[in-house]
Amino acid sequence: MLLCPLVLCSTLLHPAATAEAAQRCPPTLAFLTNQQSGDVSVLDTRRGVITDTLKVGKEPAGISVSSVSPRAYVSNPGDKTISVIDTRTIETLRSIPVGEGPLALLVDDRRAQLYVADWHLDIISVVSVDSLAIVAEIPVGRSPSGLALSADSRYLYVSNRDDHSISRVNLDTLEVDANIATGERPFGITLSADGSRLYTANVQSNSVTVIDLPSRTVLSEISVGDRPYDVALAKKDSLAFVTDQYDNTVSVINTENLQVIKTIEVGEYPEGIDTHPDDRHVYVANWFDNTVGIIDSHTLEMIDTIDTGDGTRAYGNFFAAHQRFQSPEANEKKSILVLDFELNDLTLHPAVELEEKRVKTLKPLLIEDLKQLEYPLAPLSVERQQAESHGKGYIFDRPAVAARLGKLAGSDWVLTGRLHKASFLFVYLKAQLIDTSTAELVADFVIEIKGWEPRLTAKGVEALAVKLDKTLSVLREQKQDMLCKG
Amino acid sequence: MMTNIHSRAFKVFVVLALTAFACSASAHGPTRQKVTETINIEASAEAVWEIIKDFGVAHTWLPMVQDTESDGGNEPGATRVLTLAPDVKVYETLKSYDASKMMYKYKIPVATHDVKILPVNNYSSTISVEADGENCIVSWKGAFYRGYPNNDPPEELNDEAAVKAVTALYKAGLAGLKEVAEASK
Repeated sequence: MLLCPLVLCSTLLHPAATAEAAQRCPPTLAFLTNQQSGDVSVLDTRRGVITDTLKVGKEPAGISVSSVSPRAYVSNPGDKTISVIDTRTIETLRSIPVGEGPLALLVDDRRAQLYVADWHLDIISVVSVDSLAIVAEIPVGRSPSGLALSADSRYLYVSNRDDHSISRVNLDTLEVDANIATGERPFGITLSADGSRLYTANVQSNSVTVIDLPSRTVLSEISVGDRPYDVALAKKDSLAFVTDQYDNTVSVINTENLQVIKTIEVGEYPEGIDTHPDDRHVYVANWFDNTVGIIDSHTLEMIDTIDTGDGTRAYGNFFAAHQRFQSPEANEKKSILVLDFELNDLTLHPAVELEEKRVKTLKPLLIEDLKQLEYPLAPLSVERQQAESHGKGYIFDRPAVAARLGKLAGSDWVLTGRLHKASFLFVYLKAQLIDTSTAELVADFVIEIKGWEPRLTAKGVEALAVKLDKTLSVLREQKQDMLCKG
Repeated sequence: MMTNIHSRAFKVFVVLALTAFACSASAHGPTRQKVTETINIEASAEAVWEIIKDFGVAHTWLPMVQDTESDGGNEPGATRVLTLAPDVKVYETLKSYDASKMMYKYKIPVATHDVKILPVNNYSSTISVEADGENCIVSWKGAFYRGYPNNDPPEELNDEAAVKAVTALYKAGLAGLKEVAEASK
């Protein structure tokens, strides 16, 4: 909240604006498996209330929420199945049998597959998220318990609880290509965002092993509380939070000097732990208490405890961040006013007539492309533009004038363009994107067009349309992110 | 009356003792189980705490226990051996002790545990006393895995059997405590 831009903060102070923002951006949800009650509590993290309870299979334990599609996957060791949840409609879609002892699981959005660690078969089952069929089985060590995935989806890391080791699976070949020794009985594991470090919670040796992955060496084995279960990173990976099941505490490790800096009292038998997408709040499932506790990583204090279902385990990545597809309004393509392109011919013998002819084709071509990309286009009469432009080359590079025309046309964006002819051999197609409301130049585009043929000109305009679309989509994402940080 | 409780509670263990099974010491099933039992006792919290407060003295109030040997007092790490029958012994370790909250937590170390006596693994337990007006409520909580660590457990060592056994133990134990506490009022 402290990080949000000033403009946004001031609007958020207004209750109506807050409500509006809340409508635009759905809250981040936490999907918490309750082992004893056989269901999943859906926690609205903005309001701090459980909004839904979903029936899943028997004794749900593991959870993994996709970061790109509206899906969450739950492992049910009690009936040896995986349940698929729609995180948008909040319903359990179906359950599929997977192996003999599905426990930890992890969705790989890049490869569109799900990895399920099988406690009894000592394998990782690879499930296609599209067909929900098991497409491969990878033998690993004994009692595979924890999973972590490299950001590029190249490697899957597996803790082998009863082999006191980590296996690295090469996901191209689906084979273990390295093993690294850990403390005794590693369970939950977590990878740093940059992929350089792996943290393992060692249930038996009451420690966390910190592994440097590039060198595959152990940096440190840090003593924590009794029976550590899982690890979560927060504050840009500067802190690691470890659930100590038998101590009813969370040990906080400074990841720079690898020292425990605080031990925080939580509920009884803390198990699953994960960091909110805000990178600040750490959520702890208190299995015996049937609650989830929230730790503020800035103050290292418990700030809230919320009742959940019976036996909350929530083992895995359980947050479904505000997902863009859920927010049609913030995702809506805003209208564009495309102004006539201007000609700037710097050659010694300008073939003005020919070039003017070509310049006139640019706007219709671009409008055609933008229509295909489904952008609403604001109309503006030629007379209006000419009245403002006072002739050639006036509006380009003058965002204030462009914004005034945008206001006249009622568009959100204005695109001004210029054909810049510096040589007989090629021209530059230049364009500027202006925000009507702020009269600010938000993006500059330059496309090189070689040659005279209309085909090449059309290709150049198409390249401009693609660049423009990319820029606008980044702006939409940024806007949504800003809104959703409130 | 006391003898009745003794015999009933001891039966719990006799039944358990019949379920012979060997298993590796540290592996366990995929899902932990839990049991919470509470009882209202017509005696002050202080009086009831006085009865149970010494980790090393369980035979005075736990009906199925014939004798307790202990080492380490009420310090974390203290041990006790409960003798249930001449050859039936349970080894427990004190995990944490908080007199101000009138509670302590203990475990059965994996290495010493015998599923023939209690069909569980990785057992830990917390007992606490809380005032309720002039009376009190005693809570006994247990967290444990089933006795059979591998897949498809036999009926007598599955999750249900583990929960059933611990529930029976706590019910009998708390009933015994209630009787001792209310009788000595």
